[in-house]
Amino acid sequence: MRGVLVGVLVVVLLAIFLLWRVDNPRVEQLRAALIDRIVPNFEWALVPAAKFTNMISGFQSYVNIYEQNQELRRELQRLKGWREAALQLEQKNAKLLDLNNVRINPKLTYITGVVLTDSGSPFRQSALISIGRYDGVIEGWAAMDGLGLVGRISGVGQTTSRVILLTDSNSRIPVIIQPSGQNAILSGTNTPFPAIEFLEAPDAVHPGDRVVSSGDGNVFPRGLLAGQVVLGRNGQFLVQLAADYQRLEFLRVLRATSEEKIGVSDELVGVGDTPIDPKPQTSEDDG
Amino acid sequence: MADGLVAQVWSGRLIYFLCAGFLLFLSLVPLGFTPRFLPRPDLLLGLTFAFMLRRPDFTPFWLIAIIFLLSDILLAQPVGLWTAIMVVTAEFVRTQEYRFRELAFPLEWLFVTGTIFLALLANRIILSMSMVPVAGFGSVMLHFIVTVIAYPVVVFLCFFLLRIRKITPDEAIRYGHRL
Repeated sequence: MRGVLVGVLVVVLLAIFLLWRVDNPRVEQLRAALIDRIVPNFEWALVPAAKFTNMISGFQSYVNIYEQNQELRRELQRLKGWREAALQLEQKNAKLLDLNNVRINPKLTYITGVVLTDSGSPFRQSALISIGRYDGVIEGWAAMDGLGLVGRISGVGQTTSRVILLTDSNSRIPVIIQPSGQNAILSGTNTPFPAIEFLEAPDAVHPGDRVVSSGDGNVFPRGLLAGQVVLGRNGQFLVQLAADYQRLEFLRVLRATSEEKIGVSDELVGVGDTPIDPKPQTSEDDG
Repeated sequence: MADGLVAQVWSGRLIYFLCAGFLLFLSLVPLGFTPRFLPRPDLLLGLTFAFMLRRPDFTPFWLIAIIFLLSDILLAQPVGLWTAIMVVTAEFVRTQEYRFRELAFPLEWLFVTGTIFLALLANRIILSMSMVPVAGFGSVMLHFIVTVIAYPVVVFLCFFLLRIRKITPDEAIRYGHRL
């Protein structure tokens, strides 16, 4: 009797696995719904537990706070110089844009979520955040911390959603390497430094170049900073991520504004069934 | 007497469930998202083996199925496969448990190592047969080694914190286990 029960259970479990393999989106939706039920119940404990552990490691670094302070002062000095340069460039840019009469994309707006959990498995790099379908999150949107790209939304529940980090081995993001303007793919390798793949002319790329999202394939908006090029041990180009992966507490999820597609070549764009909305999208920042 | 035994078994199952839940919770606490070179050991696996080889009556197959299905869902793994493998593995370990009551710990450790290896191998073979992308061989091996090294620690903690120890032949008769 017992053996039969075990056998039936194993068959059912394997059937679930097969279903997951065949009809992946539906089972993943079910998974997202279940996580949505379970994890927020533990939010009260998850966030303090992470804070507490970080505090302990904070105490450990208390010792070298003096050196850190000195280093910060030097860095601040350097940054002041950069700030001056940035201000001048901003003015210059504004002037040039004015001359060209360029219309910039509607400003990207974002929603901010608290990081609830990490993936819990050493082979997956993902995070669960506390915003979901109720907040209008849609699969595929970009997630950033204050500075750089962190990952992509994959799996949305009602009040939670999962972010696949750039370091995950399934993450592939189209990027441009500045200043050479080369297109490439940033692919996660389950290490702290994702790799740059499909470079056309590797000679034109140097360590220190900026890597930004290219917006190809409508995965991400253009121009989000991912990080800097560094040279790997075996001569491969890697990216040092701009986002501070050690301290991900809040993530900004960018609302992607879908751009108007121009499919026909010999008609007037915007005339016909799609009326043009003259109002720019209203921005409402929750963060 | 019988009532006391039933209460003991159910409290043991509750302890296993709570410990497993706590380990799942720990693995989900967001502590830094940089992939580390040395992965954290799979303590849930160690805990399950430690319980199976000490008090198999505390870990019935349905409880193992619940715990591992929960871990499959929460840890973003392929749903169901690892659970099925663990249920089969647990049934196998259950039939072998009586051999290890009198044996020294290193032999048990060796047995656990071999069994975990076979379970991981089966998982990997089925995953690659069904064209699911699998993690790199090196990192899986590293995780396996770390998990195996952590096993004695788990057993030690089970003994000192939870008072889970091997049953004596006398108790085996009393609990109605195989001799």
